[in-house]
Amino acid sequence: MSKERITAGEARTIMILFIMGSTMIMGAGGQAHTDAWLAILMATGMSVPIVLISARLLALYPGQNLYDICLQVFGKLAGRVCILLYVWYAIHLAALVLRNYGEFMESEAMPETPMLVPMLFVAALCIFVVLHGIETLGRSARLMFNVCMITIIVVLSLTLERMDFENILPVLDYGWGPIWKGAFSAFSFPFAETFLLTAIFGGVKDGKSYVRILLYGLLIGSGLVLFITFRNLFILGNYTMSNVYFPSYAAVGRVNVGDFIQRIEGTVAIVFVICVFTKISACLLAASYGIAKLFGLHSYRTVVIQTGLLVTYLAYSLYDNIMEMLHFASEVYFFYAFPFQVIIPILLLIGAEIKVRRGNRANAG
Amino acid sequence: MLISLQVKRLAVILCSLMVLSLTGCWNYREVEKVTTVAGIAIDKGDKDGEIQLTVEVVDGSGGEDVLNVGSNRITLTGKTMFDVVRKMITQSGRRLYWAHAKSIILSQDIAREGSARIIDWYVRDTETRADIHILVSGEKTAEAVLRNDGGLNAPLSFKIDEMLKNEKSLSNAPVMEIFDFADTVNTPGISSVLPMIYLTEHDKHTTASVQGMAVFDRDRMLGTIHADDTKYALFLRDEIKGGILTLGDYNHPPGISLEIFKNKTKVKPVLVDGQIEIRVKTQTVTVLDEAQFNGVDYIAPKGREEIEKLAEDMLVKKMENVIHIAQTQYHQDIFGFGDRIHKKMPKLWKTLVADWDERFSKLKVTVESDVVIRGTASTKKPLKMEEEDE
Amino acid sequence: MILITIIAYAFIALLDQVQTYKDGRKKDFLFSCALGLLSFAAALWVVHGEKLPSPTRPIEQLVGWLFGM
Repeated sequence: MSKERITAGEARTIMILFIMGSTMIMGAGGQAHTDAWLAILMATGMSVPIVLISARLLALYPGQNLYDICLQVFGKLAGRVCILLYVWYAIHLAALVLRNYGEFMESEAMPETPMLVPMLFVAALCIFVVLHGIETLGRSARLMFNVCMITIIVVLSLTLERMDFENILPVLDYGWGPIWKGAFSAFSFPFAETFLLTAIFGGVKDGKSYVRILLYGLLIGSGLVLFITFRNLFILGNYTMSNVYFPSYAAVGRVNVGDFIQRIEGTVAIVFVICVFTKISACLLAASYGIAKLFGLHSYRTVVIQTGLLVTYLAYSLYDNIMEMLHFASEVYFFYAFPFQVIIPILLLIGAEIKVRRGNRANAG
Repeated sequence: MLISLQVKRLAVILCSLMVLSLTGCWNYREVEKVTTVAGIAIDKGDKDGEIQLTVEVVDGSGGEDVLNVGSNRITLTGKTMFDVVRKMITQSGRRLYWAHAKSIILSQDIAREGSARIIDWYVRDTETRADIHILVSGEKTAEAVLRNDGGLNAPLSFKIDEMLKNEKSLSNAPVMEIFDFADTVNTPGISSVLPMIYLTEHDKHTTASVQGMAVFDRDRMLGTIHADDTKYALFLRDEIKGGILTLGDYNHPPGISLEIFKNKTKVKPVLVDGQIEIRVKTQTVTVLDEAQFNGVDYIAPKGREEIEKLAEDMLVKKMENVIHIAQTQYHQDIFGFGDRIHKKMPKLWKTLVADWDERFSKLKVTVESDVVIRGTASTKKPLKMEEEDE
Repeated sequence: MILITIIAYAFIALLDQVQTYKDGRKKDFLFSCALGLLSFAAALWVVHGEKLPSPTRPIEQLVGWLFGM
């Protein structure tokens, strides 16, 4: 059994792809319309403390992951409850993201294929990667990130002629209300979800500070999301962006160079699948670690397959239709995720700082 | 290299799984099993509440030659767009394939009653492409335009597509793709326009020609603007990419044609005494490509300035004329002035948007033009350089 | 469809469970079996056309009750 260690760069890349996740196709901060970019900037700012908390916890307990920390800070009983909560959150999040992918496939790409089919294939891939451990996930993330970047740049050069930079005007047209709504929405999806990564980043070698890894990951990931938002805005304009379910798909669909290069929406799907795959794998890994810890299993590998399958069935059952998905994502998710993304992390931090201070004093004295 | 039994087994499993997915997706359709649509024409049906759809399909009957693709037309009626589209299966025997459709022609009746409900299906459906061109028929029906042969073997819709692509050299009609139209219908600061398509007779066959534009109030057509004026409307919309400006004509000097190479139109909203005004400034780069008379020496800077001034005056006059038409005849802001106000002065726009149509009609617009003649093509003076003494 | 599910699960069991048993980890094996049975039941349910109970509604209600929306 390998040691489950990844390099700092791999961790950062996993985080970036995790942030990009299903945001690449669904868009972030959509309630703010033309000011979505502003909402994303604000959300990034709001997420910095969360990311710092994550880094601090990992630094206080080197070599240990979120679950170990939970047990240490909250004790046996409350700690286990905490682990259970995060396991549920990881499973639910994996299912949500998988569902985003499934809805996309069903709405745009293959409407006549039963949703379960593409979802199962991606889930199978995630299960496979997770079975092979986090190093495999790290290495594949690095490779796929490069593929992503190349695709995005190539598509950018093709879409440049369709951009109308004035679409960003007028700024603050709708006032600050929608921008705040968009900011909170972007905060909870996807930025603060990265707290879950604390569960898998226990074994990062390289000795680089966690703060640098996670902060850079956040900023780069957020930068990419911002970039895609701008691209979509410049190509589509306000009306279309608010009216279609998948803005990136619609934006790229307009590319038509010399009647030859057209219908390149497939490239958007490539980026989407890569990001979704990474995010689901990360969540699945987190969930498996948690279950193994909770039940004192020897290795998390024994539960990966079944958990992955359960995630898929859950994803299939989550909503009745795409409208429910949008409603949940825009109205309910922020409140539901708040405890996982803000409350428990803060409590953990406070508890951890106290314990460590006490421990140090005890050692010194 | 020793490969353990486990790994070998795994490899076999993975390969066999791949085979399953390589056979194609769930509902794979061969090219021969679909009917490729080149373009469609939408009219009102004879019965109340019905729409009539004419589809021009690509048909292999033109011959074995790849260049000679034939076309065929099917006309059917139904209650809604999607209803008719599916009914097409009864005549073509197969489902329609939309990926190559190039143009949609609406009849004036449909356009006048509200085009948004007709094109909703086209925009919403996933098999159709949003970058198809949309036009309004200047004839009695849209079907009439689509059905005329034009004496070609190729589908008319592809020819229309080419005409529209070459519009940039002519600039006598706007080029609208369906998503552009959908966007402008929903933007309060600009009224939509669509190119018009007519049939003209030429030695016993009729061909289609695109000229002029239709003016819309949201999605209802109000009327048309003639091709000659449309060019100047395009100047104001900053959609000019080419074309020519003529000064004088065959009988009246100077008989000069300027070829437009580049044009940039800047529209600036200004507040004057609490009232909003629009300042338009166009910058046009041209090349003198024809001189019928030798009255003006355009090589010398003074002569050139004279011609530039002539062009500028003409442009300003024509643009003001088309603004006047839009203001008095249609009361529609087809130039997007409102949208510019929205972008540059959003707070002010909020107070204006409610009755923008009326405000636009009374709007004071000042137009300035700057024409630059960059060259005179390959000859320096007109062919006949001096008048013969009688 | 049900047949495919059964075959698939038998296959997975072969690879997964048998391996765990051979490794001698009794606890892991038992847990994996339990989870596997749960997953198998869910699979049959889904293949049959029924969806699993979705947490979406309860979460919405919980959030609504907590935040009074």
